[in-house]
Amino acid sequence: MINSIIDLQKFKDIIEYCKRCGFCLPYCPTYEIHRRIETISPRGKLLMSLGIITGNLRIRLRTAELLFSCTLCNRCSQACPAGINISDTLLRTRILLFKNKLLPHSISKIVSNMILERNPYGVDLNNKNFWFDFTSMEIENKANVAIWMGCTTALKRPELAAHVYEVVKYFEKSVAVIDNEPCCGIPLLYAGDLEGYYRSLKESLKAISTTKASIVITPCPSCLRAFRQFPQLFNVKVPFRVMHVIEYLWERIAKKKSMKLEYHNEVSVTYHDPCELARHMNIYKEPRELLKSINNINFIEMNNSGINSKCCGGGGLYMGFNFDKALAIASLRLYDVPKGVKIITTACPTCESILSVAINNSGRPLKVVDIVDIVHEILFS
Amino acid sequence: MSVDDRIDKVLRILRETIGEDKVIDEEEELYVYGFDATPFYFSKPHAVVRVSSVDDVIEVLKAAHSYRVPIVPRGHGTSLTGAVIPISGGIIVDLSPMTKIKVEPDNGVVEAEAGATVAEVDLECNKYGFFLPPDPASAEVATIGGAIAEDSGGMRGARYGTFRNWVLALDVVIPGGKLLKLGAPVYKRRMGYDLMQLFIGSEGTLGIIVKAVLKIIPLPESISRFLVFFDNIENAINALKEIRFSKINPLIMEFMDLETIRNINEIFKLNLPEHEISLLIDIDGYSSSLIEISERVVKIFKRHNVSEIIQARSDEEAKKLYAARRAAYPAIARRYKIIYSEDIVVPLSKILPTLKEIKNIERGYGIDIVTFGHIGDGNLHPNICVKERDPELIDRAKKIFEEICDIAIKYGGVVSGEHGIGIQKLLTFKRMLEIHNSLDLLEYMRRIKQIFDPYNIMNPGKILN
Repeated sequence: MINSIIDLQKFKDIIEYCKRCGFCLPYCPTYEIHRRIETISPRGKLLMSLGIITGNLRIRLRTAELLFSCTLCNRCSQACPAGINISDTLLRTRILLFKNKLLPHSISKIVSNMILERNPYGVDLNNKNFWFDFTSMEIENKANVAIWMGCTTALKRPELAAHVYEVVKYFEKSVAVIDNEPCCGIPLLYAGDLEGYYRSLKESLKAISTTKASIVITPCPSCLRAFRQFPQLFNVKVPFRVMHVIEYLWERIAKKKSMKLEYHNEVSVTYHDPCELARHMNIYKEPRELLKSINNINFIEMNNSGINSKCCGGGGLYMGFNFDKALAIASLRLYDVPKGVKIITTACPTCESILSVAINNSGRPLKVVDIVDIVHEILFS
Repeated sequence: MSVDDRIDKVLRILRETIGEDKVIDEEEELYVYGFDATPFYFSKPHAVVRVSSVDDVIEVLKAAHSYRVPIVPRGHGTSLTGAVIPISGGIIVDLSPMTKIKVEPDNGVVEAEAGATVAEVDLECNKYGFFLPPDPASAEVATIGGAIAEDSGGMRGARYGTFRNWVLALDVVIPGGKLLKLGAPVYKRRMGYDLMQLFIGSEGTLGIIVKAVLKIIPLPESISRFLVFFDNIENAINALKEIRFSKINPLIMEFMDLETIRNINEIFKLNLPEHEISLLIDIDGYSSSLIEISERVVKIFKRHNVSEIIQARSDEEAKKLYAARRAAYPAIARRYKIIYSEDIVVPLSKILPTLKEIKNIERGYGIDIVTFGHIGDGNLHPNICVKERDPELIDRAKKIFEEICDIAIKYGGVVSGEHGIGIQKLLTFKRMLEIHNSLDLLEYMRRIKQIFDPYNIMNPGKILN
């Protein structure tokens, strides 16, 4: 499997199916935000990848910067007549760039943060436990169900981390967490460091094994992919069931209509599909059914939702690579909020974080929350 | 002064006049702007200039004219004939940042800058209950400027023709930097020789279209959609003929051959009935009258021994039938690395023999030809499909391409209905004129080009060699 990722002939073979029709162009958020310049389009990036493989385009730092101008949202693939999985293909290109030691400065910084501090933000790993202060519940380290919080939730949204823990604990007798949880390795994979991801994965699996859990729940779509999807690249079998917290809550609350929740007042909400949860992991139904099952919540679909959902700009390390442009993409996403809606829900700490900044900048009477926040509010108010 | 010196001079001028950030000569841009949607052509420009206003375009064409630097206008690079490949180098003028759209429903027109996509323009019109009739398959990505320069058509071509029929006025910048305001934003106009029409379909060889005013019409109140299947192509064609003779003028008349349906079923598992030919027919009108017209259409199909009729009973079903036709290209794009998309037009009475001859060619060469297209206006798209980039297979495909063009020429048709001439059909176009005893037209065309573009800087090597 791993050999096929870095096999240039196979890589070339995939790109050769590209008909250069450009049908992907209107679906690319970075292309749009860069005023439609071809080098930032999915087609342009595939062509540059082909140029690099065939030796017709030399790799330099600028090439890498253009190729990293991508959120890996994969919306482009929905429009590709040739059926190319464009974000997977561009991930291969990143692996090639990493092998050639050509990474944009901000991406190199993320990689070095990962090496030095085992998280992409470069903060002391001890801060991963900071969210413990936000809950009065007892923290446990061994249980059948464990929470894998992920760097962004634990470090950037400690209140959400506490909410996740408390909500899961509402349903379980015992829930374990990992002291100084390491990173799942996804930032390294998205930087093109395939081996680095593998090392992180092994370290993460070892850390999880200390909890003795058979079910691991995470609020982060990237971490979910790190344990559910990408281990296949290395034929690694993950020895537990990994679930996104929304899948878990859907099973507990909405699947068998076993529990009826009621929000404290009537409110219209919409849902922003995180690209990694939706297009990459095919999780569309669960968040919708969960929201619709709650009394007093009037669920209205966002424009451009589901498989055609627009990206928030935060994925694929793009927020770390070019924050201003990522924020501009998030600001565009706000135009898809239907009239009358005051709350955008989502299920990804990165989406929530950047949409929240976009809302603050826009001055619009909107707020963005994780679905877990809503469930927590109902269960614990 | 050498070519490189002249180009350097022009780029220096442009950096001063329109701004440093709009003039790009970095390796990556030169590489990716060297392609379009054709499978083989590639040639790097010397620079890419990203214009954002008419004034920018004027400055570009002033400088390029003075220093005789080739100019290739480009929208989103969706040409299927190499029309935006800079075969002589020079400067690609990227119009994609020019995207303003203004709908004037009271006047029944829409004004759009060259870089707005056809779909964006149509969507704006839809908000007022109107639509833009030409609908190229690439509408979501093709720009208005490109669609006019290529005189694109689409599925509604049988009823509404190509862009030529819908452009009322054009703003065009010609070499030297002069802005020509052609036509007028009204439905009827006599303005001497219609110079505006010269620019439509001129493939960027006369000047740069920067803005257009197009006629728009009200959206149909209701549409009745059919996907019907025949085991005999002649029966299908006769059914269409009878529909027309019954004073019914369908909005869409599309066809797919058996190979197309088989590919769609194999790739997308749509489980469509597999018969010799299938037709997608849209009848529009008021819902009250559509029931009666639809019944008449069904009777006509039955009189001509239709094998299966699927009539959409809801918007959802109608979307599915349309999606089936739209799946035709993706189905072959997933199976074959290289697709030569033909674009011939034959008289309606010659569709049947043309399709038969295409089948014979396929048998002779052993290369797959998957044919679908606009049967209502005789514009057929036989797609010559090659699985690998094998030189021998490609060579055979190229021969097939020429033979299919020859069929169209033989029947008094043309080698391109909506994709254009570009580089791909230069020789075929010339051969067509020769066979039609019209070769001298090329000379008139050259003289016209010389009036607007005396130094042949506008998209050299396209249409005219």
